[in-house]
Order: sequence, then structure tokens, then C-alpha cells
Amino acid sequence: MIKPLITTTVQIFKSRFTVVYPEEEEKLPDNYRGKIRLDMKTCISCGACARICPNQTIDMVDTYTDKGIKKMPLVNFERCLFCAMCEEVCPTNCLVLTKNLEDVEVYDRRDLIKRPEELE
Amino acid sequence: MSETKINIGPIHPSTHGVLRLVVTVDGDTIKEVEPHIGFLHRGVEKLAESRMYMQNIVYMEKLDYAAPMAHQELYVSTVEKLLGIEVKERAEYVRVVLLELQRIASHLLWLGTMCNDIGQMFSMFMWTMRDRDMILRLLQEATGQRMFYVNMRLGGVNRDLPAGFEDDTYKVLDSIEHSLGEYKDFLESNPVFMERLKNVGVLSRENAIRLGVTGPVLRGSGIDYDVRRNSSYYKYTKLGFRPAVETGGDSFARYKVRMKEMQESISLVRKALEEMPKGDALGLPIKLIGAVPKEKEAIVKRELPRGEGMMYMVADKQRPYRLAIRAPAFINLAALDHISRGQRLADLFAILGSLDLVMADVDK
Amino acid sequence: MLTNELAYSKAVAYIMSLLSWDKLNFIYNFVLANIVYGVIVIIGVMLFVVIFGWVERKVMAKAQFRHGPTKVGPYGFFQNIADALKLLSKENFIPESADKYLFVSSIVFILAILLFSMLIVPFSGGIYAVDLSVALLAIFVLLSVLPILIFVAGWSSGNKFGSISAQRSIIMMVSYEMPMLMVIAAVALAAHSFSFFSIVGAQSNMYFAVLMPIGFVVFFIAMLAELERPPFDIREADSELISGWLTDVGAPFYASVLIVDYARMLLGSLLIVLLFFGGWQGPFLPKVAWLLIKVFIVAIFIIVLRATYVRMRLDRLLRFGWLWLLPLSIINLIWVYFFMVWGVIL
Repeated sequence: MIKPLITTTVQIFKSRFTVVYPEEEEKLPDNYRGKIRLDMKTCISCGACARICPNQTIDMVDTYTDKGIKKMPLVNFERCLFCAMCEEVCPTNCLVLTKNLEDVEVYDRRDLIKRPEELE
Repeated sequence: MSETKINIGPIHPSTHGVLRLVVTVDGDTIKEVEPHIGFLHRGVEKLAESRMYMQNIVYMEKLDYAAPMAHQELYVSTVEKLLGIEVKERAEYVRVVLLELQRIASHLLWLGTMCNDIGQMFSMFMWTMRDRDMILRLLQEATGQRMFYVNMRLGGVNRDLPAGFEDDTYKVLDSIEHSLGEYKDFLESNPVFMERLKNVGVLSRENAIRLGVTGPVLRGSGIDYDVRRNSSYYKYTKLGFRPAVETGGDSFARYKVRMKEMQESISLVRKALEEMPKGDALGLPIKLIGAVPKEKEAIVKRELPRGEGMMYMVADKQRPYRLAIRAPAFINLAALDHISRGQRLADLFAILGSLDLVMADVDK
Repeated sequence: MLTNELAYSKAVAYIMSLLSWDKLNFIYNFVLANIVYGVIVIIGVMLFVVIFGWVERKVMAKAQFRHGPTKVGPYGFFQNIADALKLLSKENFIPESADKYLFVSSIVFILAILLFSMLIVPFSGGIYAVDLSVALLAIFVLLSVLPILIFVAGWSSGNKFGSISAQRSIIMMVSYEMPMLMVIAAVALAAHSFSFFSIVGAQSNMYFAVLMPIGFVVFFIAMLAELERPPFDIREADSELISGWLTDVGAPFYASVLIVDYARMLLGSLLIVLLFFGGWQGPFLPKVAWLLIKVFIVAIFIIVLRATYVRMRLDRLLRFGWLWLLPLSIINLIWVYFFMVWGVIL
């Protein structure tokens, strides 16, 4: 009957395990799957990422580049699962998942649909 | 006498997920329990028919949010059997390590939420969540995410274990073993806790076989059946695995079975890390046009943390023609009515806690 | 008509003749002084509620490896005030199947009775409102009305969880009231009176917790059941009946029920300290400081108990109360009687 009380009292004097979020941050590993980054110069508009995505979140849209109008991926972050299949399939390695988690927090749901220029 | 119906509705702090129970009660004694399910049905079996084999991993993981690695591995094994692909040897050890770590994490979650339901006021829940968080950080180093890993590929995993994984794992396992001893002392020297669990929800041997329950619920009633030993896969018999069995059939026996399973998993992970051969554990990467199936249909059985799971798949060029899933929590829920007749209303939540249900598994 | 008016005027004339100027002055001063003291007590209780709430949340958070409130005020001190303000600003709705007048009035009565019983308890040798000679009995009469009021509130709330909780409230009251009264009888026997001042004065040689240890343990457990603290929080079992009698209570009344909870905990700790630990006696520091220190230690112990123990089932509590607590309290009474007769102490 007394042993549980001793265990609880001892725990009071140990250190905390939780992190007070905006002031302290947690360390993420290198292969963390965060926001998608697109390198517009090396994209060859093959559309493999749009075809492999299980949730159909990537759409190829017309964008202005230096070489004219090409089709580049537009990502709808409301439906994205961060599964990294598009990164694996991309033949030129221009679509990469980074460690960035903060740019997918928005105040308006329409800002979650990111055009290729914003994915840089 | 006067019987009233109480509706323990879909939103309740103690039903794990959305589950509606219509309980017919006479005073304080339960006469009948009728579960209504289907609030979380997403049509996974039908969705799987319109995606390619490797695109379906994403849906199969979400069948169980407490232990996603187990369902993902079950699905990938079914596809491997269908396509006739062998798993590499080092990959077998890596899969065993990841699966057993996931099993420890799932049982820690069970312990926390069961103590919550009995009335513990969140202390035990916070302590077990701390241990589970340490395991999730390990899995995050190995695969990249804390939940919904998508890291199994045909024939292996998508990334080998990073350097320094073994030392971190040994430290975490030592800490968890120490904590498990503390939890055992904390709970078993507490007579109020033992009173809530002993002789509550007794399931006899014949009824357990007749109802078709599996997993710790079956092993708590004295029947020695475990898929990891009976139809063994990967290297479990080589690593010397022994299932945990208790007689008694009440909630306390199920609790002891799960605590023993956690100890067994810790020693399995240690042995697997020692005996792991050097080599290559990478599987086939995802491509737009994959391999062609050799067989027509395939069935695979695995031991999930909640019971025995099975998948049956019929092939049709690049997509499954039909995928059928046997979810263990669905069958265990059907035993609830039988177990809880004649108990008090306050015991219903202790029984629900000891059955360890996850509603995503029940509703698919 | 004429006879009614005549009787009425005769009654008024009689009453006016009773009240002379001296008596009116006395009544005026008495009422005014007590109203002022009453207001001070209410403000003091609110302050204690804020402090106790903060202590409880921080200590429970520390025992669970997390931080607790950190943002509102220094170390989260004003978090409870922010919560109370939020609750008071919401809509108060009463369900259709509830009995409106009983429901509202029972909750208001609970708050009123609890604040009233804080007037009878002294805080030190000099800080008190009234010195009743039967203060101990009066407190327990007031405290035992509370389960009945909770029963009325649960029964009239119109949903099944409330009525189950109401039934449990009555069954609980049956099991812990008797042992508590027996221990109070032993304390009054040892101190020769029911007034708090003489009880505290009679402990100048030896604290009653040392004189009657069995009685102390029985009283502590029965007090926990009275205060609805875990492991005996069966009336509003948080995870089984979603808040029991509080399920359909609207937000402003919920704030007042929270105040009632903490004020009851303050009252319980005060009673334990006054009856068993010598109240405000101690060297060096002023008397009020000793009382507050002891009350805080008892309160922290009750909070650690909350973080540790599992909730007891109702029939086990009934069995525990009648099989263990009641015989122990009777043995305690006989023990104290023999000490008095042989004059070992006092």
C-alpha cells in the first residue's frame, strides 16, 4: 500500500520529459519526411510523381520557366501523407522531402495548395 | 424487475475510439451488451482494388494506429508471396527487430489506457507514454516518421538501420526493462487495483475456442496457440521464442500475459541485434510498372499485437482483384457480450480495457 | 377585512415595542460586523481556491513528467482564474427533460452551505467569526447535507448517467458517515467539549494523531470519501459515467462546482489539522502561519494520493466501510475512554 506512494513521490523530483514547444524544439533525424521541395531547373515534367501518388494529391500544371511554359507538379497539402513515394520514383531526384515542418501551418485552408514556385 | 437501457454512446472517454454499446441493465447487473460499430468504416478493402500493389501500403498502415508496422508487414508479405519474391536474410532480422519494438510500444499503450479506464487519473498513462515515446524515437531514426512508416519494400526494407542504432536500442531496452519492473510493483502491491481485475470477465477454455478469439485473450484462458511458434515465419524458432500462457481466464490473467509478452519481446530484440548477419537489407524500390504475379492467390497469417491477422489476395495483373482482411479486434469484440453478462456496470470498462480493442481494426 | 387589518396593525405595534434603540443598534453592529467578516471569508476562500488549484495542477504534473500550466502569469499561477473567467462567459442551458427549479436550486444551495460552513471554523486564536460551543457538530451536520443535495441534483438532471450517479451518492454516504461520527465522538471525549478552541487547547501536551492513531487513519480515509477525492471519487467517476451528476450542468454552474470542490478540500484539510495535528500551535512563527503550513502539507499528501491510486468499486467500498472502518472506530472510542478513565493523559 505504501510502495506506490513512494514511487510517485520519487517521480516528483526527477526531470521533465516534455518540451515547451515554441521555445525549445526537438531534434529531428536526417531522413525525416517533412515538406516537399522541388528543384525547378532539373524537373523534366515526366509526371511520374503524379501517377504514383496513392492519394492523387499531385497535379501537373502550366508554369512559366526560363525555357517557356512547362508542366510542373502542384501539391495539395491537405491530402498529402508524406509517404515519400514521389521522391523514390522521380528519375532526376528533383523532388525531395526536407525536415521543414513549419511552412505547412497556415491560417487559411486555401493556402495549403502550393504551386511549384512556392515549393522551392 | 425493471430493466433499463443505457446508451454508452459513440463519444465516451473509455471506449477506445467510436464504439456504441447499448447495455441492458437491471439495477447494477448487466443483462446484455449490444455493440454497434461502423462509425469508422472507410472501405479499405474496396479502395485496395483500384490501386497498384505498392500504393496500397499507405492504406494498410492506417488499419491500426497503435501498431502500424504490423499490418504493413502483413500486407507486404502477402504481396511477396503472390509475386514469388524471397526476403533477404539480413532483412528478416531487421524486420523482426522493428516488429518486436512495435509490439512493445503497442502493449505500453494498452497498459496506460487500461489504467486510465479503471480510474488512475493519468499517472500510469503518462509514464507508459514516456517509454513509448523513447521507442518511437528509435523507430523515427530508422525509418523517418514516428507513425505510419511506409518503409517495407518487396524483399526487405527501404533503408538499412543507421549507424549507432544498436547502442541507442540497448540503452532504451535497459530503461524499459527497469520501468516494467517498477510498473509491476506499483500495480501489484495495490490491493484496490487487484480487486478491480481479479475474477472479472472470466472466459473459459471451451468458450474461448468456440468464440474464435485469438491473441492474449486466448492465451489468458490457458490455450497455447501463437502464430509465431505454430506456423513460424522469419527466424522466430531460431531465436528461441516461447509464448506466454496463463490459466484463469479473467482480466488479471490477460494482464499478466501481456506483461510477459513485453519481457519476451525485449529479449528477442536483444538476440536479433546480436545475431544479425552483415549484408544488404534493401528491397525493390517502387516503380511505376512493377513485377508480374506468378500465383493466382495468396494467404498469409501473422501474429499482430492484438491477435492473429490474415490477408487473402487475388491477383489481377498490376492490382489486387480482391483483398480480404481478418482483423483480430473485430472477432475479439464479439466476445464482449458473452463475457460481461452478470457483471456489474463498473466492470464493463475493466473488461473493455483488458480486451485491447482499436476501433480502426474493427471497422476497417 | 376589518379584522385582518386590525390584527396586522396590532402585530406591527407589538414588534415595534420590542425593538428599542439599544437593541436596534446592537443588531445593526452585529449584522454589519458579520457581513464584513463573511465577505472577507468569501474572498479568502476564492484566493485559497486559486492557490490550491495551482498547487494541485503543478504537483500532479510534476509526478507525471510534464510541466503543467506555464504561460498565464509567472509559472502559470493565474491559470485557474483564466479558466473560471472562460467558464463564466459561456451560455447556461438546461436540458428539457430536467426539472429546472430543483436542478438550479440544488447547485446554488451546495455553494451556499459550503461557504456558510467556512464561517464556523477558526483560523487562529484571534481570527474567527463566531465561537460556537457546538462547532464540531455543526460542521458535520452541514457537511452531511451535501450528499443529499448531490442526489437531488443528479436525479433532476434528466439523463441516465445523472441518476446512476445519484444512486451511488446515497450508497456512498451510508458507508462512510458512521465511522466518521464515531471518531468525532472520541475526539470530543478526549477534549471535553465540541468547540474548536478547546480541542486545539487540549492538544498542547500531545497531538491527537499520536494519542489515537487508529482513529486518525479511519478519519483520514472517511474524510477522503467525503471530499470525493480519488480513490473514492465514485460520484463523478470521470471515465465511466461521463461526469455523473455534472454531465448536463452548464458552464457557469460548472465553475461554481469547481469552487465547491476546492473549498471542500480546504475545509477537509483544515478539519484534519485542527482535530489531529494541534491546529495553530507551534513556536516562533505567528499562529496563522503554522496553520497554513500544516494545511498545505496535508493538501499535498492528498494530491499525491490522487496521482497514485485506482478508483475503488462501489460494493467494495461498502464492504470496506462496514467491515473495517466501523469496528476500528469503535475500538478507537473504547481506547480513548480507557485513557480518560485511568487519567494517563490529561
